[in-house]
Amino acid sequence: MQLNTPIKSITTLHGSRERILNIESEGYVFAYITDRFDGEANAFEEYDGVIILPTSPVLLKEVLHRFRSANSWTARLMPLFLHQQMELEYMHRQLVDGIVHQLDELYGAVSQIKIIKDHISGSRLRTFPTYEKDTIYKLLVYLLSREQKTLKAYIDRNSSTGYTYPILESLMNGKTPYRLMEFAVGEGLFTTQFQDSVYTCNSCEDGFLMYREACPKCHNTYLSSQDLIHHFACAHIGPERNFQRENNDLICPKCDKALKHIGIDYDKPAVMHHCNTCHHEFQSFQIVATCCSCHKTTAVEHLLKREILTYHLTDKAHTQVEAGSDFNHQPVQENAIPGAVSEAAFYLNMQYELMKSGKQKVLMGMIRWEPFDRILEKIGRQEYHLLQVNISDQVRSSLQSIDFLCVLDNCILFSCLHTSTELAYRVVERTVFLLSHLMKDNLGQDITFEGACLQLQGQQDVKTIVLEKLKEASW
Amino acid sequence: MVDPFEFIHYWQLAGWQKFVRVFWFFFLFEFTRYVLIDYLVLIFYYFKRKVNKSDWDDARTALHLEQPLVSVIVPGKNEGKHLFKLVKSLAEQTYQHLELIVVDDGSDDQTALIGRDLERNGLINLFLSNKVRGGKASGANAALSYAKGKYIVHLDADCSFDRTAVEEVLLPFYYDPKIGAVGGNLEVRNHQESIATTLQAIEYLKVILTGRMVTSTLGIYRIISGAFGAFRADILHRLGGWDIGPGLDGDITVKIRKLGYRVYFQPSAHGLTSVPNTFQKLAKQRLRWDKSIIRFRVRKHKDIFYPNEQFRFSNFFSSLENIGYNVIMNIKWFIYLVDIVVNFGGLIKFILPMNILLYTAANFVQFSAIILIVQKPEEKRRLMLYLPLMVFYTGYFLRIVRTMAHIKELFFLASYKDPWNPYKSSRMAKQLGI
Repeated sequence: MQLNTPIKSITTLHGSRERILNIESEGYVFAYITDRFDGEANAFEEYDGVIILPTSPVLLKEVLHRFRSANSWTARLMPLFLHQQMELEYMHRQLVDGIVHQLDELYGAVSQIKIIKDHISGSRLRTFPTYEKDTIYKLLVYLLSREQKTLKAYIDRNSSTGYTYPILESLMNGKTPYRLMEFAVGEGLFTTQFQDSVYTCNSCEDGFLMYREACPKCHNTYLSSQDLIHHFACAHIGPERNFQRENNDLICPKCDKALKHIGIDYDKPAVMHHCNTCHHEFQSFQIVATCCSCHKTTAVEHLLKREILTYHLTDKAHTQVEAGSDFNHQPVQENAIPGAVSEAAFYLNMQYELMKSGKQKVLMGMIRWEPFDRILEKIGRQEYHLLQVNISDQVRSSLQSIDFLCVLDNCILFSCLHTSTELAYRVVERTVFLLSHLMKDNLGQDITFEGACLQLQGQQDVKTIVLEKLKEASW
Repeated sequence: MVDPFEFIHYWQLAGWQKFVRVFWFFFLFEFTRYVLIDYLVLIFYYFKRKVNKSDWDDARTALHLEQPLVSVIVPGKNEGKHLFKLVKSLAEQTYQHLELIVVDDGSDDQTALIGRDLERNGLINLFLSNKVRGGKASGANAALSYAKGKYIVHLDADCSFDRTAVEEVLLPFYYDPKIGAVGGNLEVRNHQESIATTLQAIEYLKVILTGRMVTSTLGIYRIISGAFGAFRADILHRLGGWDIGPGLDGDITVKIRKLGYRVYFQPSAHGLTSVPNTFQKLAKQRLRWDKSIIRFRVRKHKDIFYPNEQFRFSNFFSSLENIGYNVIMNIKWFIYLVDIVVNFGGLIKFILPMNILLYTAANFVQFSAIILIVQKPEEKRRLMLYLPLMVFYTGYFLRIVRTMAHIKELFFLASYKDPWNPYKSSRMAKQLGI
């Protein structure tokens, strides 16, 4: 072991120069830094490994994150070791390759570097044009280079959902990884195992929620409770305050008799709660959760339940990283409706159909639902998306295979190609009827649907006509 | 078995004087009250309704202009399985400014879960769940404590209603401001289930539809069924709601009458209810109902017969008719039976078949009137096939049950032991003599 002090100084992110200790062992050169180091991780590309002296968990996390989210493969896959006497914290196990107890005994670290380098040399390091594919590929290479076959979530109060996959958090710069991992599982790169489930805000998906009892009518949390009293003799029943007199006596307001003995004269069969804001009386609280992030208050039944999974690498992941082959599917865009085209594509397709038809009419249908704002507010964006998917499925089932549709916020547009006007109107009418009944029965809240059929011809601009129609208060 | 020719020959020879002597009970009480008076009053009712049609139209307009909040209250135990059907039935009502309050009176099934779920989904405005059973009256009073409506409609959970039922039951309040409570018209839903339910279906048409139209027209209508009745909320609050049952429906009606308000039966406010499907269950139900006549009419509200400052002839006749035709007539029927056995003992083989013939004929005459006024008369005609059995049903079965009930209540205060009411309440009621 050779210890040279210092061999290099690096310009930090703040412009200052920071010195790095250089340690050599068995021909492998390590950089020795503290977690106060705030320089670029890419500056360590010429090293075989980095030994970090931790001083605080926050700083350590930051410096580890800087390495694992680095742009260059070398820095990102850099073997990292902690110089400490304690065991590795569970959070660091995904990001750190080992512990160095003494700087003059780096045999373990060296052998770990050899394994990592060996695996990296067997992988094809490439990039992908889409964010999802590129991130998944980086994750695969990292996990395989460390022989980590399992990706486990750890409880972390700093994570938005309460759980974190440290390596994913670094690779994705703190974004929630669930959709990305769904894509990876869909590709057959991971199998899953249930680990836990958490509730998150249906608006921003944050897991830090404050739970309170609230009035089911106005959702206010300023409440008081009182017993109900049942007077056996006259069958009168009412809140305790109606029976109370100044001298602490309980007198029945119906028959003026004194209630002296519980179980003999009266009992208390239930508790009533009173909302001090809207004065609503009720027995069953509504439990609401206020999101600490976006401050939205939601009834707990409308929170999102998310399963926290442990992911296990498959053989396919090995093969893919060795060959550097492409993925089988395209990642699904967030909030995309399956089977629906984008709004722009819809107008373009309709315009094309119109052009093709010459003087013939081209028909399209529109179905709109209300009250958009209130439904969205109540059920949250995620459930609203599912609602849109369900509506889209229902409309799709009424259309021919050549037809296409697109879903806007509270409206669905669809083509009715090669159909008579009468049939197109009937399709719209029947679909509105079905949706109204389906949603009324299943959603349990007021949602009204209305439909319209547009007949397009000649050189008309589809988009303008649709937007004009959407402005109409009722169809 | 009597020879039909001998039977006809005997009555031909007997002459009309003997005929009337033997069947004096029928001619004096049954035919006069249930056929003759019914027909006359029904004719008067329809005449009056036609003459006052514009007043009824005005009442409807006034109701729709005012749009008062109406509290529909549904107390009950273990009624969870009926709740969804009930809320659906109410959702279809033509009058919609309603609040629905359901009280679970110490149910030991899934009622609390079902009710709470319906409340959470906005189908019930307030669901009150009492962990300890307090009895029907306390359930209704709990709902009354939290009702905000100007009118209270009291329903049983196992009933369903015509779309216009709530609107129709509210109209009399706008027709006559002296009306304090209105009874709805109930028919039997499960009339095809068994012979017991079929006979009850006929009985309901006779007693509820026709009987109550008649008593209402005569101003002596005395019971607003708990299964479907509407009340002015201010009156109920003044009375402190319902008192301990059984028989709380009749009791509250008497109390409203005592305050000087009229009670009205509205035949167009139509609903359906399920009735006991075996004679055993029916006997149990009727024992409870009939005991309440003694407990409430004869004992609790006996002051109705006293000539004090609150005395009213309508109330006097209302209770008199009730007690007379239920209690006294029953006793008289047994006197009649003794009279026949003692004086005409050897002629039973001629008297009994003639008795059945007479009552069946009277039933046919009475039912003809019902067919004229009832909804869906074509469906009701099927019931005519069963009219001959009504002689045995009302004449013997119900009479025996009624007699047993009266004896049990008169001499043994049996209603206080009825498990229909919780022991804690009955014990206290007995102690206070109410």
